[in-house]
Amino acid sequence: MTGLAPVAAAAAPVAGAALGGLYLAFDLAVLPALARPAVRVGDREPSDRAAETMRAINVAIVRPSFLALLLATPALAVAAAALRPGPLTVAAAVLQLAGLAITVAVNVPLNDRLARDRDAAAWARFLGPWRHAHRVRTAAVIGAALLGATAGLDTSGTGAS
Amino acid sequence: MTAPTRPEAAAALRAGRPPLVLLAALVVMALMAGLFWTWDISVMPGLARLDDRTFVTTMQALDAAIDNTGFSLVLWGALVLTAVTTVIERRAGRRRAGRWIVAALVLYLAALMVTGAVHLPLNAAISAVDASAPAPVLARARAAFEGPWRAANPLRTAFCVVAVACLGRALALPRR
Repeated sequence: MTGLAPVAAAAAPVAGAALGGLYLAFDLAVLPALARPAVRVGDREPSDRAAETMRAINVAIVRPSFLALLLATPALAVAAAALRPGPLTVAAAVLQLAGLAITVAVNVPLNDRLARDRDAAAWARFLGPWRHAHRVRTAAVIGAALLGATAGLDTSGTGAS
Repeated sequence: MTAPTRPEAAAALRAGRPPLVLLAALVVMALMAGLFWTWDISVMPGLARLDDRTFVTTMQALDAAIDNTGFSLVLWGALVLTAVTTVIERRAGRRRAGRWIVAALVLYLAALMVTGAVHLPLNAAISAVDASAPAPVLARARAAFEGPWRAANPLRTAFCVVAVACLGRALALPRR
């Protein structure tokens, strides 16, 4: 046993894939649904309903379990790289940190602006930039999970850990 | 020190071969767990705050707009990779690992059965509702949908999380 290294090596890609799956739900379902040019139903514009839905989803996701996954994922990737430095673990850590940086620099400010702005163009200003940044962080986080899993191959193949 | 015979060398090579398919199954299973979890912690609690008409139109849009190619790739990928790795481990004679992977396979099949028995019929039912119907019709459609859909979703999330743990256990076993 080499202590924490095998734990971090296994936990980092699993956490990365779980976060990647969560992001993927937005890429594959939520955003396509909200971006869909909907027919006008009732007395409200479709974009108005989409903005309200996204606001509600954003409020709901801010909870300890999600924040724990969001922060633990890059932390585990950095720990895995520090405990067992190599090109794959370091690349995975860099990608996870990039994913978090995109979240902090782009997605969270756009969420905050959408929560605040109530004008008719608020949704149009939100949708494009948020979706684009979200695609990039999804790719970064899933890519990091794959790299981290591949890095784990070196040791899991020998049973030495 | 004597050189290993040809079958011995081949066996050693096989044993040392990295469990690529098992790792891929683990990653894709964790993706599925995250996908299902999104509905538990974000989408459905968010939609719960909306009025009936917005709820119904949003569920209809979700059902219609979901990227089926991408989603099917992950959904069936988890099943195929887990099934293939079951065969690989059993053929290699790693029975303990094989048992954990079969457990993961059964759990994932259970998650798919919940999807087929609860979520797909409910999605079809709410998509058949006329979104411009009077308020009481929408309220009834929502009431029939929201409770059972939300109650069943943590089940599929949990099945996938435990399946991830089973695959991780199989991966952690010494490979001989």
